[in-house]
Amino acid sequence: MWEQRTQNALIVSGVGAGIGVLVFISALIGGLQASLLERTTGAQAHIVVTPLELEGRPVLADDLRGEIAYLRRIERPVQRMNTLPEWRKLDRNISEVASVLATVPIAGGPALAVRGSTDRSVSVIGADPDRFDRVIAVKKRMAEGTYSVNGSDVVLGVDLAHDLGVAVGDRVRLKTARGDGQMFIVRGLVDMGNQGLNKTWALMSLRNAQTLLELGGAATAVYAKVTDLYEADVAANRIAKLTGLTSKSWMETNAQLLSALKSQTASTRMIRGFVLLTVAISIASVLVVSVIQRSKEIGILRAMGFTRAGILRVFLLQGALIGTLGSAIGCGLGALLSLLFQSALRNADGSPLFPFALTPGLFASAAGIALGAGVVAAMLPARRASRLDPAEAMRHG
Amino acid sequence: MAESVLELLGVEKAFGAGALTNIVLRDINLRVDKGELTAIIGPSGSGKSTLLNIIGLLTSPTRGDVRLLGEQVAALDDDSLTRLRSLRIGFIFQFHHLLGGLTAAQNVMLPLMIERGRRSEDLLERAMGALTEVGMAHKADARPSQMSGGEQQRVAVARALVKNPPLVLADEPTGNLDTENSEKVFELMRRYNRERGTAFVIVTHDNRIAERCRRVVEVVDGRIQEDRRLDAMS
Repeated sequence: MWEQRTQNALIVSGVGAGIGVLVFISALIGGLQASLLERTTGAQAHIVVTPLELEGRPVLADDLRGEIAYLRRIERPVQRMNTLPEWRKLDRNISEVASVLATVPIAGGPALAVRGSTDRSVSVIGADPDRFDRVIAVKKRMAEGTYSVNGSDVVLGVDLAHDLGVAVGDRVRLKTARGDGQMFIVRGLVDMGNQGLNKTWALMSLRNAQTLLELGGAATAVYAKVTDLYEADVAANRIAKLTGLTSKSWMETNAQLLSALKSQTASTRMIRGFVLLTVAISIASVLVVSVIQRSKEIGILRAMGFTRAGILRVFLLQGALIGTLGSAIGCGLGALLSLLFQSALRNADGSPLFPFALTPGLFASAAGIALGAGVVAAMLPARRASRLDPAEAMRHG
Repeated sequence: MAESVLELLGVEKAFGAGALTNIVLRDINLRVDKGELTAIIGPSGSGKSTLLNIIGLLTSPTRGDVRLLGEQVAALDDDSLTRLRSLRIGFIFQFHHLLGGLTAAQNVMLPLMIERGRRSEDLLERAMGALTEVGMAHKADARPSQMSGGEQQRVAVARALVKNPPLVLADEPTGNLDTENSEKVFELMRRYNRERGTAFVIVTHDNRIAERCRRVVEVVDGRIQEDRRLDAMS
């Protein structure tokens, strides 16, 4: 009895340690990836639909007047502000594509922000503020003031405002190279967690952007958000096929990040696989010994009317029990480790580097894995136990 | 003629194969009637235990027929044999073979639970009844390690008889008990035999036990050497 208890306690703690590592690694990698993804995709649209690029005009036969022309180089045409045809209809069509969650038409382009003697180049984005916020969360990233773009209100990136020396309530002139531009009142500063955007963003209403950039009533792009981040490329292709326009997903623009994430995921899977294998093998080895140790008891039970199936069940149950108890310990251990690391890994300002992804799904899958490993590992010893000859088992037990 | 509980017809048992074949039992013909108290004696290695295992459906014979309460068992699969064993046969082993992790009451209840598939209050009552009959009710909550050898064997008798089977097989039931405890255990078996008409087949080395059985079967070299009935015993 004592040996069996020690044995079971040891194996349960072994399974617990394995599952603990599994939970910890998964939470670590999961949290890291979620945080990376959030930083990358949080500040950009999942899908950006833009007009096709202008291509070089073919040389017409008439121009040659019968002479032979040798083309050393086809010069790319200047990509002048290109607008989307029938953007209202286009926006409606895109929003109806499967897995597209929200869309927003954009009037955007380069401009200059002028204040006193300084000027900074800015990226003007004009859009309906509520719809824009549904595609790229801006409201929750407001560092100061509010996300308001009514009338002549503008929201600037925090670093841009800093460079220009403006604060909420100040005025700033935005102009293009050609026009005089307009005066805007700064209503808010936004921190997108990305220096490139913080130094250039100027958010305004669609109408103001159209006027400023001399687009008439046109839009230059449609931004879209999809339900599943990793399905963005599929949705982007669907949109491209449907509209015949350029449709790029974040996955295309961040191919390097994506491949890094993918290889990370693959290595996590491998670690999980090996942990699973180790857990299964150790449970199996303990049960094999247990069957030998308990063969006398098995013989007695069989003599008293326990069926083979009954013996099989007992050992499968033991495997399942070891797995379940081990996973309970492992989940606790993994959570503890994760929380410890999370409190140890901090940014310079004391905030956690990134949150570990300790989700209920992770615990459920860890428990499922351990339970499955326990039952599968118990299969062989259980079969052996159920096939023991009762008379033999009692004699040698 | 009395009703038969058990019949063996031309039973042979061999272990191994080819040149290494070892024939342990040859041409065994044995019939045990309802209510008979039979002792099987013989030297070590004569095949007594194998014979008992065949009677107990724990081992199948190489040749010959076994009938339990008129039912031919050769054609039955393992599950049916197990069910038959569970319903018709009680076992008492030399080393009591109680489960160490369970109390006396739980050990006695075990055959009932195996049949019913779960535990319940009435099963515990039946187990307590059986323990009372063997005079072990006061140790109901004790584990085997907390009981003497004689007490353990009395609990094993209670376990074998709790389902009131028509046939009880005992393999050296007093093999490792002192005289006083042997006496107690044998008396218990005899009482059940008298009061309930339970048939007993007892494999024993102990002549004092064998002498007090109404029938003694002697097995030598795998054959039944002698089968004598002693009358006027009571």
